[in-house]
Amino acid sequence: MKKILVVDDEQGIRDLFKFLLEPNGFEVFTANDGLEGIEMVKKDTFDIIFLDVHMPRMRGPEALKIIKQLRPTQVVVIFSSSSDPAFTFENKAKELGAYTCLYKPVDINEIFTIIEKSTVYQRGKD
Amino acid sequence: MQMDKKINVLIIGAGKGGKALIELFHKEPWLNICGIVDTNDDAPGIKLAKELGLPTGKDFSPFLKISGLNTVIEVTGNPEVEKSLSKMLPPGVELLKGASAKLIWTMIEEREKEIAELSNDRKAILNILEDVEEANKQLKETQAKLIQSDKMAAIGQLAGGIAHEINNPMGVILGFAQSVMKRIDQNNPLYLPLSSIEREALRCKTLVQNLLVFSRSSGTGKTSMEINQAVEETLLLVEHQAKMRNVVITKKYAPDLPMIFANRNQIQQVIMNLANNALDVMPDGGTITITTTLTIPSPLEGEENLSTVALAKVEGEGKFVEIRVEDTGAGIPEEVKHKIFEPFFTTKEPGKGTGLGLSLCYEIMQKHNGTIDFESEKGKGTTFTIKLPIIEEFTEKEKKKVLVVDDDRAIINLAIAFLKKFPEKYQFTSATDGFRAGQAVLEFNPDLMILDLLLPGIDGFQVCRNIRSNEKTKGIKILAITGYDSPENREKIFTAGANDYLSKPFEIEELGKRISKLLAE
Repeated sequence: MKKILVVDDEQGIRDLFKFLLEPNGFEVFTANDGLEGIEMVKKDTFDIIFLDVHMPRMRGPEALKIIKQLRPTQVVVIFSSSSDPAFTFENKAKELGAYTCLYKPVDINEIFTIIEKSTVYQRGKD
Repeated sequence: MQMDKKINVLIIGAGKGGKALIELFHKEPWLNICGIVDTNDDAPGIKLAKELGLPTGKDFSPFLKISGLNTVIEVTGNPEVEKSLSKMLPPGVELLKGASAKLIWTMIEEREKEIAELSNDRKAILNILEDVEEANKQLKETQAKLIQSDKMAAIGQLAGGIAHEINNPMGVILGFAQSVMKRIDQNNPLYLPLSSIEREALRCKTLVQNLLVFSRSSGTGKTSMEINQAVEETLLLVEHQAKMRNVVITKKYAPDLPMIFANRNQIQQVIMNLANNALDVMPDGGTITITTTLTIPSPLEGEENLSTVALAKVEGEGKFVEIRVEDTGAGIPEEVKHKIFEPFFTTKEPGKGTGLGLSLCYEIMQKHNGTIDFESEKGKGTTFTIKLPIIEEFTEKEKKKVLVVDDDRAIINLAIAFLKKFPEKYQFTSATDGFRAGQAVLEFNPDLMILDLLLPGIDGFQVCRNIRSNEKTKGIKILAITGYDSPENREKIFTAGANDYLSKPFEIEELGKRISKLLAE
């Protein structure tokens, strides 16, 4: 069973991922901010981590750096709360080690597509 | 003033000199002209005297008998007259003649010169005042714009903040609606309300995207860019959709277009918007034609020779890159044509368009000092045209060199005031006498010389002749400045080799026209 970690300070987003993915055979874990997310990464392994940018205590990009240090091959999808693809944002995210970016509000079909793609990606790496 | 305190003067000779004396004297309350004498009835002084109600005559003898006569001024230049006068002059009456008359003549010339100079000074001051007023006006406009732009920036920031904040809850709304829809059958009565929620949430997403364009601070990210490339990239995104709707995209790019200074993203957004609008009006297929060209504003009618000055008066002078987006749709109805750039105005069904597109395009074009306009004919289609100013590069070589020579600083300042208005077109320097002018010509190598003919030392005519006779300098255009406009003077000027002349006092516009004309030849 695939394990997904959703790190977002928005209750709605955390609930949404659970509602969406659990019936489709995923185990969904959640964290409220960057620090919590890192704690969970230390204790467990995940197939994909969805990471929001704007969170209290520790923001997405900082958390991303640390996660990548802990698990260099971890697939992390980072959310931007801007609805426009911004090349500067994407470049920065990729530099820090993100697999790809998602723009809010997210189309749920995109979430599934990304999960599929990253699975293939992971398989390739292993 | 009592009669007996006035000085009574008889003027003999009513030519130009006599006339000038009348003009001078009759304004002075302490002078009384008791007669003007000339054998010629049509002499200019006689005419003037008659107009002023002064006594005139052909013979001076009776006038010499006037009691209280103090001075006789003889300005006929005729030695015979001089002789007979001296014989007939009553005792105690002063005779000014010959050299003394010449002195007066010189004084008159000087006086006229002074008046002309004062007039020029006055004109220069008026011009400066005009410039100051203009500068003031511009400052006020800029101030208003800054305040507006401050407000816009503040609104922009607010809009940006709100937009970001809205995206989160919107994500949840959209996400759940879509997730539930996935779990139920299309026939489920709950499917409709959920798909409505999905649609409206997506609409909010577009709205927010558009709002964010306003939130980006103006002035960021403008770079020199090539327009054809940017348009091509944008069209790649549109082509897929176009194919699906049976719309053919025809591209006509002009080669070697100069670069523009713009925010690439924003320009692409404008093109995208126009292209999408075009797609939307042709649901059953059609053609979109995109054309890029270079346009030059046309000179005002009848002023082709004065292109520099006239063009400068056109708002936003210079060349533009023009992009036209033409569709073969139904056209824009007459009654809505004046509304289409209004924010939130849309002809699309509710839920299909936010109405922000064209007003955004308008904003973006304003920020780039460009324009957006359209032409539309019912049943034939619509063409939107956007224009963006190019980056003009005037190399040092293209600047024309102008040398201003005049011993009167006011004139030099006047000429320089004009030349300074076009720093990319003119380089200039000045000299205050003939000798320095000669040096300046050799060092500065001007294309055009503005030359005062009445110079101290080496006079203007000589300077002119010198320049024409020297191989190296004979091609220099010379615009002569003179105080007296008369046929003899004009002949003299052109004989000396000047290309054109201007007589004082002159307006700054007139100077500008002559300069442009001479340099264009």
